[in-house]
Amino acid sequence: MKRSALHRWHEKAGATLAEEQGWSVPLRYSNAKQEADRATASVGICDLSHIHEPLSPYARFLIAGPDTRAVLSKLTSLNLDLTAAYGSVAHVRCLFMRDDLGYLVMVPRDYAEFAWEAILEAGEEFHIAPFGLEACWRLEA
Amino acid sequence: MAIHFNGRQIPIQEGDTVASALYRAGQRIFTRSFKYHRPRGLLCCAGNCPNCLMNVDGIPNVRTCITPARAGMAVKHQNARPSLDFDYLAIAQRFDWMMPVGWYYKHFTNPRMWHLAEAQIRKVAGLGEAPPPDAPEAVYEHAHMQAGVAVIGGGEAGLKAAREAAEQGERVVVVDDQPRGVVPADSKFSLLSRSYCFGFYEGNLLGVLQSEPHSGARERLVHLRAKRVVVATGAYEAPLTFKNNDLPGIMLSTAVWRLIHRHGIQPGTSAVIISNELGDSNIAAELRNVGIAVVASVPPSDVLEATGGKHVTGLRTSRGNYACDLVVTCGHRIPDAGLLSQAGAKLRWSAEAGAFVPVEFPPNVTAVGDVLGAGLKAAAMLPAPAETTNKRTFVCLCNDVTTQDLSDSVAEGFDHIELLKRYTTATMGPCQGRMCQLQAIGICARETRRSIPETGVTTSRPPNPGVTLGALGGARHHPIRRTPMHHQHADLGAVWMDMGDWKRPRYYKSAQTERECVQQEYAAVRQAVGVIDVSTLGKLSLKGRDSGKLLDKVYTSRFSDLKPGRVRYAMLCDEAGIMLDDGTISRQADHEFFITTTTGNLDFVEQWLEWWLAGAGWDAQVNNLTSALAAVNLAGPKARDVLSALTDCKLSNDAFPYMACRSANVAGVPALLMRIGFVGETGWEIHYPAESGEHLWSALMDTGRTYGIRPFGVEAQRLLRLEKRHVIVGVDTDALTNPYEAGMGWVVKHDKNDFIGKFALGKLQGAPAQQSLVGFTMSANEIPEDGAAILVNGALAGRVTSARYSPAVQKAIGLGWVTTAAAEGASVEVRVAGRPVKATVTQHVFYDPEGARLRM
Repeated sequence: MKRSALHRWHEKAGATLAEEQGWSVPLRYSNAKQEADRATASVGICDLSHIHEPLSPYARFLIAGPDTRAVLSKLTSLNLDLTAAYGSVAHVRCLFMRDDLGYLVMVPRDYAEFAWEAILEAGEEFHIAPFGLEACWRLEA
Repeated sequence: MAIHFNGRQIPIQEGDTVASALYRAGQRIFTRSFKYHRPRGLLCCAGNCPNCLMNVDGIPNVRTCITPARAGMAVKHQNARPSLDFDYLAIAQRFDWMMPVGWYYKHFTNPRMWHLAEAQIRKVAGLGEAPPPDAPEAVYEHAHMQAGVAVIGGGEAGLKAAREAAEQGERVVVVDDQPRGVVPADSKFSLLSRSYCFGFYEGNLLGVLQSEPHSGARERLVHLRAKRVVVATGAYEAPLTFKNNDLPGIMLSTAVWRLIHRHGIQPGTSAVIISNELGDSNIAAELRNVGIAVVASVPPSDVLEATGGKHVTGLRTSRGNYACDLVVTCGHRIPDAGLLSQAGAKLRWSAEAGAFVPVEFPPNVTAVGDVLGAGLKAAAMLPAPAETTNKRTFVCLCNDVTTQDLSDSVAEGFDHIELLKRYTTATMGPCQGRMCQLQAIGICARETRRSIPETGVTTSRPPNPGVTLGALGGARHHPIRRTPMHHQHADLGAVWMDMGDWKRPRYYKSAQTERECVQQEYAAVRQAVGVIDVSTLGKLSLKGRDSGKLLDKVYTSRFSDLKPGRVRYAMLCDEAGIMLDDGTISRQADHEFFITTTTGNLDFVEQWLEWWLAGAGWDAQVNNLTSALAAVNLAGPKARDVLSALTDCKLSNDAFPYMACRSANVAGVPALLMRIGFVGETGWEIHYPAESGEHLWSALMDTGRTYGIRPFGVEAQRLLRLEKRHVIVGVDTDALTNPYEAGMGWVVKHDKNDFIGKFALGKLQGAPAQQSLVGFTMSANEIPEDGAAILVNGALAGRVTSARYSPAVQKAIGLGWVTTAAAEGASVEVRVAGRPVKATVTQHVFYDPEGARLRM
């Protein structure tokens, strides 16, 4: 099965993994409803690297919730009002795209684990937590 | 509550700065000057001058006048031996005749003499000393902030602008560096206190340095991006020029005001005020209110000189002489417009204000308050009259530049303000011209008989004020780049090494010592099979009808004639024939190539290809696949056995010869296979999608188990390739190496039409090489370090670039640069642990010179 750059991170965090379009993806870390609620109330982060063009050098994260901007502005001086822009997060170059739920961030796959952990660290004061695909589907519904 | 000053306890009060506490305790000399070690005391009390720089808690050059005093702080003086009050280096003043302006350039034209003098000069001149290497590490942070409106300066005008913007619903951030005591609590905007803006960058990005943002960090560098910037940096007061104007006890009127009102200090007992009629009445009343006798008030044009040794004792004027212990100067007030200037505003001379004032602001940048220069009045004659020219009238306090120095420089021909700055170093010290720029411009104008606007101002550049190296470099986030198989290496006991941002396994911990581990990995590759993660290689795809043309132009060999399914070694040189990078290029189809580059040079090669493609009108597209692909090199006599169990691709010598490439599935993963041999054994480099990185690696390890497979790291790879004399660009070559010297002339194809470096390489081909890259074998079993000296008859003849113990030769071997004569001489010595050891130069490859094992 294909693996995102965060596969080992998800495993270590105790995620329930499943197959989705040939990829191993995290369905939930503990409870999908709680994860979705957290992302609605403060901020959460989800690995969407499996939404993927062939031979893509990027990993994709969705950062969602009312505190998203507060977390990201700790890590980037990019103007977050823009719909889409190249910038950096924690000194890693990336592409930001605004999304209905928050921001979609594309970072080079090799830097993905570093950037993911930097976002989690920056979000600690906002009680950030990762959410799985099930929570993501709830948010989209 | 106290601070420690040079080991002495100094009591502190609420609202004290380090400087105010010291002043209250009777300290008058705060620093010794840069060159002459003249005593200097508090001058501005606003963080604008160099006179109060001290070492605070191990940090040099701290502006103590704006640093809040905190109980237990350790404060030490700088650049004075043994003490501030008695500094034997003050003898330098007696020898000022030996130190004319530009004396470095005049006296030290002989390099040997300079090297002798330099060590002494460095001890005598300068500011604080860098913390020693074993100093406790402090935490420095980087942070990012965004604001609708950023206000620089928390004075009256700045706070008013901030409130107004906040009431309109803007997100407002105020940056303020002054110790103002209690700042009005206002939840409508956020305040970065103890912060200064040191630079204005493109797109309204502000560099802000915040001291002690919280108890866990010493400084935080804030990248502040604002839609609109309001500059409210105000105006600062500058000194006046007269003889001995730098004595302790001579203070700016604003400094006196701060000592009285902010710190409740009576700065002296009897004072003389130097002021024209416009400014003196207020300050005289202030002084009398706190019980200071005002002895006299004189206009600047009447002042002859200040008298006194370590402190001012009087003032000589054309009206008479006055004894005093405080001289208050009401100088020019100058708009602090450096940031506006960096933002793109123009500075225009205003004779009325006696200053350059900012005009024509760029969009989304405005200014409020005194920085606009409205209401400022010229305080004294500018330029100062020629009579004030002597070696004791100081213009630049930071670097001890006098009026005499400036006049002499103009006479020597440095008559443009920018040249004058660089020659005298006036405006180039810690105050960045705040104290001296106006007077320097005035003297330049006077001596060149130009007007002040014709003379102009020097350019303000960030950082201004200075920034600690810790804050610039100390970001806690150092990005880490991991290959897709990173965690598998960790599971296998990888010992890591850094290559740029990448983590690579140096070796795998399978035995006690590194040497044993590397030997085991080496043995697996030579005798069975090994696998190494080479995902860090740069990987570029090149597509389009003219791809071959581009490669022929950029690389030294020919690629347009490379047959699909073949691989060729590729070297890239610049126009001067210098080797820049190497790798392989394989042709997958008529119009499709795959390029690998060295790990460190990927970005360069990608840009280089794009650069030569731009405007050429060729059909070729470069696509960087480095992060999208994992790559491994499977090598060793059993490599074919392992690989054939995982793929339908025919791997026999006939079907898949050396230097061929094929696309095939390996363990169900679509992959590009190249049969190449950096380590000198039959092997395949396999490139495949990164998301299958772990899957294919596991498949190779599982299948290879019965064949004795081992993962190998960079250290074993370096040894394996050294036995094959394969050069690593950037390790065995440097920024001056051409292919002929490196013994790789075969890679340059002069029969090609045109390629980068062709002309230079054509000349180099025939020219006798100055030095050559050679192999050597050590006589004894000792391994020189990389960079060790190579000697011929005891004289230096070159350097080692790589050396290892070779199991194949059973001796230490290496590569190194030697003079051409030494290369032919065969017998040299290599320095190992300080003593020469005999070595033999060889042109042979150390292992399998015919390359038979690559074709097995």
